[in-house]
Amino acid sequence: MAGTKKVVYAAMLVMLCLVVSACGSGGNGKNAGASSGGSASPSASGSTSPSQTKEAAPEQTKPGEKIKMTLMITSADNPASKEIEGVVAEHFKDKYDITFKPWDGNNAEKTIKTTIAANNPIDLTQYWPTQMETFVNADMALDLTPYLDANGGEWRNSFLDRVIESGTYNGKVYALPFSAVYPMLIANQDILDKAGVKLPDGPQSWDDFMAMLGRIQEKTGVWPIGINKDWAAWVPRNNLITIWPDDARMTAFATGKTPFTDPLVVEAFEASKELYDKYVYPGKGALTTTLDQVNIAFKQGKIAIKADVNTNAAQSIKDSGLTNISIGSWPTKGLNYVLGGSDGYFIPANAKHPEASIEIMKYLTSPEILQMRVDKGSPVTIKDVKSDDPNLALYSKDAGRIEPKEIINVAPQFMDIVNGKMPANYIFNGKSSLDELEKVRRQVAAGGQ
Amino acid sequence: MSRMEQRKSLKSSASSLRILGILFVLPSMLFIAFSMLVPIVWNAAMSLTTWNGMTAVKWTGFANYAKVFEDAVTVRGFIYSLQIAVVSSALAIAAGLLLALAIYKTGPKEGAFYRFVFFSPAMMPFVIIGFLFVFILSPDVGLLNSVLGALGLQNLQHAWLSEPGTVVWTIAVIGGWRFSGLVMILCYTAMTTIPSSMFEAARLEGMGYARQVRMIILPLIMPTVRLVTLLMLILAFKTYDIVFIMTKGGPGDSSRTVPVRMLDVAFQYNEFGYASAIGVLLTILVSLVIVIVQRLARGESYEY
Repeated sequence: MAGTKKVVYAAMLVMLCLVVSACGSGGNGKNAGASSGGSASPSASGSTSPSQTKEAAPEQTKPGEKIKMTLMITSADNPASKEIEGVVAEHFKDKYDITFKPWDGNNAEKTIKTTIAANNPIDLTQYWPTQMETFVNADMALDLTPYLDANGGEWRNSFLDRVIESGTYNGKVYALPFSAVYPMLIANQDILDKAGVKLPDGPQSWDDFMAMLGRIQEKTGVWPIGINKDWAAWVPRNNLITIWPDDARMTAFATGKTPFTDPLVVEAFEASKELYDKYVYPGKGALTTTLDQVNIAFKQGKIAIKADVNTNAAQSIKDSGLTNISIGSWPTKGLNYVLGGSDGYFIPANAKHPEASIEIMKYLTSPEILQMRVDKGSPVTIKDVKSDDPNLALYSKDAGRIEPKEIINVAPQFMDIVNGKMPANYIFNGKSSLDELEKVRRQVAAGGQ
Repeated sequence: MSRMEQRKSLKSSASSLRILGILFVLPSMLFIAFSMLVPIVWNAAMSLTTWNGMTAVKWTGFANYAKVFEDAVTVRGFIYSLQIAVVSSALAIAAGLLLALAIYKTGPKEGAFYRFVFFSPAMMPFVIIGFLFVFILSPDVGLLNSVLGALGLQNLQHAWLSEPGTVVWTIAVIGGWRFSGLVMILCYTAMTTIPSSMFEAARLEGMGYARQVRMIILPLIMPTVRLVTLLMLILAFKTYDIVFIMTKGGPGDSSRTVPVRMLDVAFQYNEFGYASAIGVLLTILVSLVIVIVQRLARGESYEY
C-alpha cells in the first residue's frame, strides 16, 4: 500500500514538473518574443516601417511611458566610450529609459547569445561586423538593409565608400562599423635609437622584424616587445593571413579549404612560437600579461615596443607620458595585408523595440557622436567629421590593408580556438594542437558542426 | 456520539489536516520543482538533442555523450575539475581542521580574533580573490615571485598562471585556502559541543593535547568532517568563477575545467545539447565521487 502511495506521489511530482515546465517555457527566443504582440512604433524617419521583418519582436508600451532599453556599447579600453554613453543617455532622456552594460570583447558573444536565448536581448550592442557569422547563421541579428536604404539611402550614404561591406552577409547588412580597427606597433624611440634600429614607414617583413627585436634585446637588454594576453592571437592570425604566396591560397585557407596540416600553416604557428619564446615581455608569463602590465612596463622603459590597436593609439601614447614615440605597421609574412576589421554595432533579431534600437544606432553612427571618437584620436567610418590631430593619419595608415577574410569567421569553433586559445596551445603542445582545428575544419567541410 | 461517528469525525479531521498540510507545502514544492527539478529534467532531455538556441530542436539520442569522449578538451576538463576538487577539498579540510585545533587551545579573546582573521577569505567574493591573486602571482612584479627572489629562491619562481604544469595546482591551492576558513569554523563549532568533562578526565589520565585530539576530538567531530568533505567536494567541482577571473580556462586549454568548457560549448559554439550532456556527466561524476568519499569516510557516530 505504502509503495503504491509512493508511486502515486512520484507520478504527481512528475506531472507537476511537466505542468510547471509547460507554464514556464516560452518556446524559443523568436516565438516567445512574437507572442508578446503589438506593433512597432512608427519609424523615426517617417519611412515605411522596415521593422516588420520576420525576426522583429516588438513590444508595446503604455502611452507616456518611457521605453526601457539596454545597450552594450561601452568598452573599457576605448577612451571615448564612457563619454558617448553619457551623451546618448542625455539625448534620449525624454524617450528612453536606457541601461548601459559594459562591453567586454572576451565575453561579448557569450553575453549576447545568453540574453537572446533567454528572449531578453540587449537592444543594441557593439560587435565586430566582420565576425557576425555566428549570429547571422543562427538568425540572431536584425537585417538593417531596409533601414539603410530608406529615404533614398540617406543613412547608407553617410558612410565612407565600401565600409558597410564589412557587416554585409549574403547581400544583407547585419552590422554597421563605426571605426576601422587593426593592430599596430608603438615604439619607445629612445630605446630603438640605443639599439640603432627604427620602425619603417611601411609594413615590415617578419624576418626583418625578428632581426630588429633580436638587436634591441642584444644592444639594450630590455624586452623587445610587450603584447597584452587578449591580443596574443594577433600574431598567428596575421601570419595565417599573410604567409600565402598569393590571394587565391590565402582565400582558400580563410574559407576552410586548406588543411591545418599544410606546411605554411605550421610555419605561421612556428613563427608565432619563436616570437613568444624569445622576445615577448616578460618571458615565461607573456601569455598572461594584462594590458595594464604591458602599459606600465612600456611607461617604465622595460619594453621597447608594444602592440596596440590603432583606435586606442592616441590615448595610449598620451597615457604613457613618453614623448619620443614612433608608430609602426604590424609585420607580415609575405602578402601585404593586416588582420582587422571594424568595431561596429548590431541589433539582435528578437530585440523588443527594433525601431527604437535603429534610432539609437543612427545617432551612434552620426557625425555628432563619431566626431567625439575622432577627437580622441580614433579614425571613423563616416563622412562629415574633422580632425586637427596631425597624427590621426598615422593611426589609420594601414586601414586600406585590412583583410577581413579569416578562418575564424568560418565557424564559432575556429573563432574560439584560433582567437582564444592560440598561440598558447601551439606553444605548449606543438603540432598536435592543430589536430583539433583540423577536426573542426573537416566537420565544417562535411556540412556539420 | 456513536463509535462509528467518532471514527468518521476523526478520519475527516485527519484528512482535512492532510489537505491543509499539502496546501502549506505546495508553494515550496512548486518553487523547488520550478527551480530544481524542471531544469534538471530539461537539461537531461536537452542532452539528447541538438539545439543552437534559436532554431528547432533535433533529437539525436546519445550522440552528444559519445562526442564527450572523443573531445580531448572536454576530457581534459574533467581531469582538471577532478584535480581541483580533490586538491582544494583536501587542502581546505586539512588546513581548516588544523586551524580549528590550534584555535581551540587559545583563550576566548585571541580565539575570536584568529577566527575572524582565518574566516575572512571565506567572506570575500571569488572575484576579489581572483584579482588579488592575479596580482600576487604576476610573473614579473608579483608579490610571490618577489619574495622568492628576495630569499634567493629564484629557481622556485614561476609564471604561476601561465605554465601548464602549475596553473591548475595554483587554482586548486587558492580554492583550498579560500575554503579553509569555512572548514575551520564548522569544525571549531563541532569541537565546542564536546563536554569539558571528557577533557578533564583525559587530563587526569595524563593525556597530552595530541592524544586528546586523536582519542576524543577527531572521533567526536567526524560526522561534521564528513559533512564538510561533501560540501567542499561539491563546491570545488563547480568551480567556475575563480578559474574564469584568473585564467579564463587558459593559457590555451591549460585550465579549462568542465564548467568553463560547458559555457564555451553552449554560448560560443551554440551547441546547447552537447553542453547539457557535459553537465549531466559532471553531475554523475560528482555523485560518484561523493559516494566513494562517503564509503571511505564511513565510521561510527558517538553520542555524548
